Amino acid sequence: MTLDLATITLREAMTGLDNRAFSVFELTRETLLRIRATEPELHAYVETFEEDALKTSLYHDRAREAHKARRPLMGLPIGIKDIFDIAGKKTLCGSKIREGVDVAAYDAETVHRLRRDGAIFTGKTVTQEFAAGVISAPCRNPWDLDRIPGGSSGGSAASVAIGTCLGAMGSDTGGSIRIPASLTGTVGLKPTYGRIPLKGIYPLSPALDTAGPIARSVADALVLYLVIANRAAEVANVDALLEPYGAKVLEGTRLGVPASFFTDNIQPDVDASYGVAVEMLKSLGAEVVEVDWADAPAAQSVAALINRVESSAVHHDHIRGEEAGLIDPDTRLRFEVGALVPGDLYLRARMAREAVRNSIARVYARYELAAIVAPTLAATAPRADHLIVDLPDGPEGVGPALTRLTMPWNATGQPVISVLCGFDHDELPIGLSIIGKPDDEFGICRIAHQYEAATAWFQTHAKADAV
Amino acid sequence: MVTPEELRVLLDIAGLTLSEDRAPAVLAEFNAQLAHGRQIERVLKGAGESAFAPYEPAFPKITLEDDAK
Repeated sequence: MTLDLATITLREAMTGLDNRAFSVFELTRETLLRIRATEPELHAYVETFEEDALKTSLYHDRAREAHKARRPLMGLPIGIKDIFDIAGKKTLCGSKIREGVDVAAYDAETVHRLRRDGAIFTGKTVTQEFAAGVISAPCRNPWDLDRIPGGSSGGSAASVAIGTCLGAMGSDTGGSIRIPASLTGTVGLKPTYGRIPLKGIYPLSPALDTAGPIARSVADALVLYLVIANRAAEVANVDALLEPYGAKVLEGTRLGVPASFFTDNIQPDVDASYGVAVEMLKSLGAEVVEVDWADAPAAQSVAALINRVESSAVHHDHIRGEEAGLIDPDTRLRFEVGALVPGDLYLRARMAREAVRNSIARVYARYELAAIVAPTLAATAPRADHLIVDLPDGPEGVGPALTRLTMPWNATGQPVISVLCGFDHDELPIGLSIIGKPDDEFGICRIAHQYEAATAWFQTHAKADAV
Repeated sequence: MVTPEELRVLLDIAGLTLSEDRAPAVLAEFNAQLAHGRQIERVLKGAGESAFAPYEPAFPKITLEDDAK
């Protein structure tokens, strides 16, 4: 096995290490060199940890030689979104306000679990300021450096796509894992709300915040999910959990396709790729039924209201002090408006959240669904110098356009995985979302894995001009 | 819809100060949030029993034994 960071997956790298095709030190050094080569144009990292990473790689090589107990991520390079604490490093959250903060005393719980299970941290990846937005400047999209990677976990997705880490951590409050995954052709897994600990992660909206992985394949995402869910013992069973590929491997799996909302006002290329993806799932044996979830717009509104009010409370002092002027104007506006929403409206949004959870649960029960499949986003990556999305109903601002289809699933708290399902006329990636019942991460990964294997889209890789 | 005058009162109550040039953007966004509020009223009238179990976040505790594995 050769070490080609443009294409290698996390699990392939683990096999390469096990077979001694390359050492942890070689893998780490090549990753760091690739960061040096791509960063001048990609800007996926806030800070890299070259010395720490190389030292840790030597430790893991020695541990491997000494036949110490193997850990699931032993020696694999992982990027960490810069809202997660890493002990001894600053957590800047993409904000000028935080430039003077002390280094974190402890790892975030998820970072602790990754470190304990052998991950080597390549650095802190770029986030939209306080994880509130979809642009992730100054990071760019490896498929086209004139375009945004999406956000807020844009640096994580861009680094995974270009191979300057083999997996990365993101967070998702309104779509911040799935949006950049879709725009960069990577796999993004938003776990069930409440299942991954948020300790040590800077909050945006605690009732919606979720942490999860961005990866190069579904199996890689599942491995990272198991580690951060404190279920690393199950990593050895990933092959068995995902089942072997087969012609009719999804036989007996019933999938819902939304009749409206998720297919309304989306770009024609997205619509076309989505249609082809549904046909592919049918050819794998899945039974596809059209479902109507009339409360999808209300679910979007629930997530929007909760997000605005809670993020305003989190940043109460920031928007009232002298430092308010240091916040990006659009981000500041979001936080300020949240402070104006009446308390009873917030509480009604929390009540409505239960109502939309109930209504989507009834849809799954009525149609006996294993999952719902829908386009992840209405559009492909917008240009960084023109943050307007052209949609069939007319142009729309990048924020509302990219979060419209993702936010309902934050309101319901369901697990969602986004996988690459094609390209538009500019050769920009398009994402497909598979939405499961709560706690059915394995179920959606199984469907996504079979789809991925049948299409082999994930073997198409980004090529930033600098590489 | 909230008027610019009403917005000024709300800003005072919230302890926020805005420059005149930023007020229209805040007003537009605030009215968008109120529109979200109208959107949720419909579902509140139709709330029923759930087939999903309630979320009860309960994280496995990290123990010394786990770390020693």
